Amino acid sequence: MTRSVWKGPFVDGYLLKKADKSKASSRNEVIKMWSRRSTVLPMFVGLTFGVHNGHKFIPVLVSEDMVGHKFGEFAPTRTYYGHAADKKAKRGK
Amino acid sequence: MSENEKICLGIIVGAQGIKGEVRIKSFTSEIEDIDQYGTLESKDGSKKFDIKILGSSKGILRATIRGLKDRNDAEALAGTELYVSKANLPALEDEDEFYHSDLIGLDVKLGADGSIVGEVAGIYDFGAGDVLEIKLTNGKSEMIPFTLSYVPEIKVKEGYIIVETVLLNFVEDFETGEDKDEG
Repeated sequence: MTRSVWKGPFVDGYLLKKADKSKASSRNEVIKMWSRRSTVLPMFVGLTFGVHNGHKFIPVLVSEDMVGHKFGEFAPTRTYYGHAADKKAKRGK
Repeated sequence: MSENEKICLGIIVGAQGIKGEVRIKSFTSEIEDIDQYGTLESKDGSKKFDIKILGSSKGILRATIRGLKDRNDAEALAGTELYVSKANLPALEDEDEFYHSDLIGLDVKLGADGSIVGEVAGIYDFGAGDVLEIKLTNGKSEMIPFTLSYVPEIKVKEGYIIVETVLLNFVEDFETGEDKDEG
C-alpha cells in the first residue's frame, strides 16, 4: 500500500539538519546516517551520505535518479561479491 | 595484473537435454557476451571450448560446445570454469574507466606520505556510483567512493592507487571529533 500523498515523504528530522550543515560547508564531507528508512529528497542531490548497512557505512552519492527511493536501497545488508570478469568501473568527478 | 593473466568469465553448471548441450553461468556484464572475447579455455589452458550460445533462461545460458556429442560428455564438464586471457579484453578509451580485474589487488597508498595501507579488495555499484572496498593492513575493510577526490591517482601498471584517505570524512568528525547522532 502506498503512503498517503498528504503526508509527504518521510525523512528523519536530524537528516535535514545535517544536510543543511553539509551544504553550508564546501568541504567534501560524508553525512553519517543510520536512517535507511528516510526518503531521498531533491534537496539531497549532490550530497554524499554514509548509509549504515549494519556493519559499516556505505558511501552514497545522491543523484537525481535516486529521488523518491529510500536510502536503504543503496546500501545492501548482504553482499554477493561475484566475479570481476569483464566488468568496468568509472571514476566519478 | 599482467596481460598473460586469465580472467574467469563463467562456469559450466551442468548438462541440458540429451544432445550434448550445456548450461553456463556467465559472470560478464551482459551474460551473452561470454563468447565475445575469443576462445574460452580451462584454467590450466589444457582444454579449449568453442561455444555457441543457443539462448538463456533465468540468467543461465544454454549453449553447445564443439565436440560434445551426448549428455554424458556434457555432464563430464560440469563445474569447469571458463577463462580467457586478459589481453583479449578490448582496450578502454576513457582514461577514467577501468576493468575491475585491473583494480582488484592493487596496493593502496596514502597521498600524504606514500605509505601502503592496504589493497583493493573489490569494486561495487549498489546504484549510487562505484565504491571501492579496501582491505586494510590491520585486517579491517573500508569502503570509499571511487571518485577523483578520494582516489586522485591510479597506476595500474605500477600496481598501486593513491587515495587521500581510507576513511570517510564525516561531517561530525571534522567539526567536533565526535558523533552527536540520535540515529
